[in-house]
Amino acid sequence: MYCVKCGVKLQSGAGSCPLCGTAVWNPEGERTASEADRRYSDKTPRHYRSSTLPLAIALTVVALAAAAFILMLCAHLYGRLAWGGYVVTAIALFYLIVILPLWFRKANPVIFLPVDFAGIALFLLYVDLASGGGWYLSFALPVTAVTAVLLEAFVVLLRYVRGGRYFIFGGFFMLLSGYLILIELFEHVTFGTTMFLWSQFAGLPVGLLGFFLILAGIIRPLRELLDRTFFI
Amino acid sequence: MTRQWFRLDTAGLIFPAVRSRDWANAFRVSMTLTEDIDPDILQAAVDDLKPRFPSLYVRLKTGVFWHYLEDCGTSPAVREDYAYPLTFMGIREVSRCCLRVLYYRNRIAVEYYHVLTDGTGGSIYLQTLAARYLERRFGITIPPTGQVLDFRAAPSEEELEDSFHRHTGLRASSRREADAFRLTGTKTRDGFRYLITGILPADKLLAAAHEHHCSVTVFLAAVMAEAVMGIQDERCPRRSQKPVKITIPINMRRLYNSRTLRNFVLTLNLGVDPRNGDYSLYDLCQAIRHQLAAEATPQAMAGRIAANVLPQKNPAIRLAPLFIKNAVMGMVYASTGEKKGCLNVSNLGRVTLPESMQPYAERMEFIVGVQKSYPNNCAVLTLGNRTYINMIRSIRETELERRFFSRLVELGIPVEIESNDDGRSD
Repeated sequence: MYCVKCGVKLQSGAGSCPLCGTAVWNPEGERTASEADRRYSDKTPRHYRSSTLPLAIALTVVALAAAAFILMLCAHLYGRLAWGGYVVTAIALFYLIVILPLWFRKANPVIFLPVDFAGIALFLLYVDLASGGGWYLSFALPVTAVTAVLLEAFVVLLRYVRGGRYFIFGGFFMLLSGYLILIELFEHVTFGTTMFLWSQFAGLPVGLLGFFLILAGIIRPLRELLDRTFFI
Repeated sequence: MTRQWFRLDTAGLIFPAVRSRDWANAFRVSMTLTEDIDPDILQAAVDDLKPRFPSLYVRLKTGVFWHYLEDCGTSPAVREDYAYPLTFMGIREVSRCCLRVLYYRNRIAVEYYHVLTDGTGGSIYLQTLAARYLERRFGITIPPTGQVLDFRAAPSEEELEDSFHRHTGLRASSRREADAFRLTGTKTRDGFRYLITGILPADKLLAAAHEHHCSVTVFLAAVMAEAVMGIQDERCPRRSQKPVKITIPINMRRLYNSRTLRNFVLTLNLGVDPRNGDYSLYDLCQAIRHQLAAEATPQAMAGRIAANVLPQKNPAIRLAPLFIKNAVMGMVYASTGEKKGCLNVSNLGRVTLPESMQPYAERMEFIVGVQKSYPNNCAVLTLGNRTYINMIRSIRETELERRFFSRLVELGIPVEIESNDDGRSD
C-alpha cells in the first residue's frame, strides 16, 4: 500500500499515513493493523520525572512545626504574641517565597513574583503596626510596589520577548537608576533625612550602564564587540 | 575488592552537567533477528561480555571535582522493550547502570547513556552481543571479524583510552557561530517519543547522492536542510530567517586511526543562510560537501578537540567543585551547544556483519534521542542493501518527516515507512 499524497510505501494494515495523516484505501479490503505488525510493546515506562513534592511536604511540616513551637513558647513565656508575631509572619513569608513554588511542577515567576511582593507588603504592614513605626504608607508600601512593578516588567520582557536583550537590560538599569533617587525621596519624606546623600552615587553608574547597554543595542558593531568579548 | 573506575571521556563530561529532570542524552542501536529472542539466553550473553567491555558496564558516580564511571558490579538485567525507544534515563537508573539491554519479539536493542560511548562503540557492542547470543542460541561459531570482537580476549588499553587527549591541537578553535533556526511543535504527553522509520534501497540512495556529486551523509543532510528551509519559509519572512544548519557527527576514529570504544566523535554544524538567496538541492549538497571537506580534517578537528581538552587541563577549572563546573558547562552548552544546529543527521554508515551471522540478522537500526530543547533528530544506518533512517520526535507534528521522506520519493528513491504511532492521541 502506498500513500496517495506522499508516495511512500506503508506498513500493511496501516489505517493512515504516519507522515501526512491521509487515510489509506486498501483495494484488497479492510485490514486493520494486527498485533504482529506492532513494532513496539504496550509497556509504558514508569514516570521518571523526579518531583519536588516530597521536599515541599517536608518543608511545610517543618515550617508549621516551627511556627507552632514559637506560638506556644510565647504563650507560655508572656501569655501573648510578643516577638513571636514577627517570627511567625517571617516564617509565613519564607513559606510563600521559597516553599510554595515547590508544590508546582513549573513555577512561573511571572505569577509568583507579584504574589511574593504582596506577601512582603503584608509582612511589612504587620511589622509597622506591631512596632508602631508609622513608615508603612510613605516608605515601605511605595518602595515595595515600585520594586514589584519594575521586576515584573523585567521578568515578563525577558520571558516572553525574543531578542532585544540589550534594550531590556539597558532600560531596566536606567529605570533602576531613577528609582534609587525615588527611594531616597521616600526616605526623605518619611524619616526626614537629607536629600541627595547617596542616591546619585549609586544611581549615576547604574544609569550610565543602562545607557551604554541601550547604545550597544542600537550600534551593531559595539554589540558584536560586547558579544565577542563577554561570550562564555 | 576495589571496583574498576574510569574518568569520563572528554565528550562525555558535558552530558551529566546538562541533563535535566526529564531529559538525558541517549542513543540506541538495535538488531532484529530472524527468530524471537530468548531473554534467558540474552541475559547469559550480556553476562559473558562484561569482562570484555569494562567501560560499558558502569554506573555514573559523583566525585567532589568530577563525575566518574564505576564498575556496576552485576551486569544489567535484560528487560522487555517499551512502547517507544529511548525512554528517559533518570538519575536513579544511571547511578545503577548507564546501559540498557532490551528485547521485543525478535529484536535486541541496547540503549546507552551518552557518557559511555558513541554510535560506533555502541554498534560494536551490539554486534558482539548479538554474535554471542546467536552462538549460545544456535550453537554456531561466529569468528570475530569486522565490528564483532572476540569476547574471550582481554580489553586493550587503546580501547579504553580517551582518544581526545592524544589528538588535541595546541590552540583551541573558537566555538563561535551563528544560531540556527529552531524547530518547534506541540510537546507530547509524558515524554512519549514518536518514531518514523524510512527504509530505502541503499543502492538507489547512493546513486542519487552520486548524481548530486556528494556522499550519502551529505545528500541526506542536504535533503533535511531543504525540508527545514521549507518549514522556515512557511513560518517567517525571508528577512527575519535564521541559518539552517544540520549537525553532522564526525567519527574521529577514521581521522586518527583510533580503536577506542569510548566517545570519540565531534559534531559539525553545516548548512546555509537562507537570507543569502535561494538554494536548489544541488546547491545545498555542494555547500555542505565543501564545508565538510574543509572541517573534517585531522588538523581542523585538532583545534576543535583542543577547545574541549584545554579547559580540562586548566588547574583553576580542575580545582573548581563539581557543582560550579556543572553550572559553567550548562551555560556553555546553552550558548554554544544545540542552538547552533537544527537537528542531527547522524550516519553510522554501512554495517557488514560476519558471514556466519548474516542469515540470522534481518535488520539493524540506529536511533539518536532528541536534543534537550530541539524536538527532532535523525539517525541512519545501512545493513545490506537497506538503509534505515530513523526520525524521532518529541512533538506531535510530522511536518519535517513528511517533507523529508516525500522529497526522497520525488527524487526517485522508493521509501517504505513504519511508525510506532498506533493511533495514539496526544
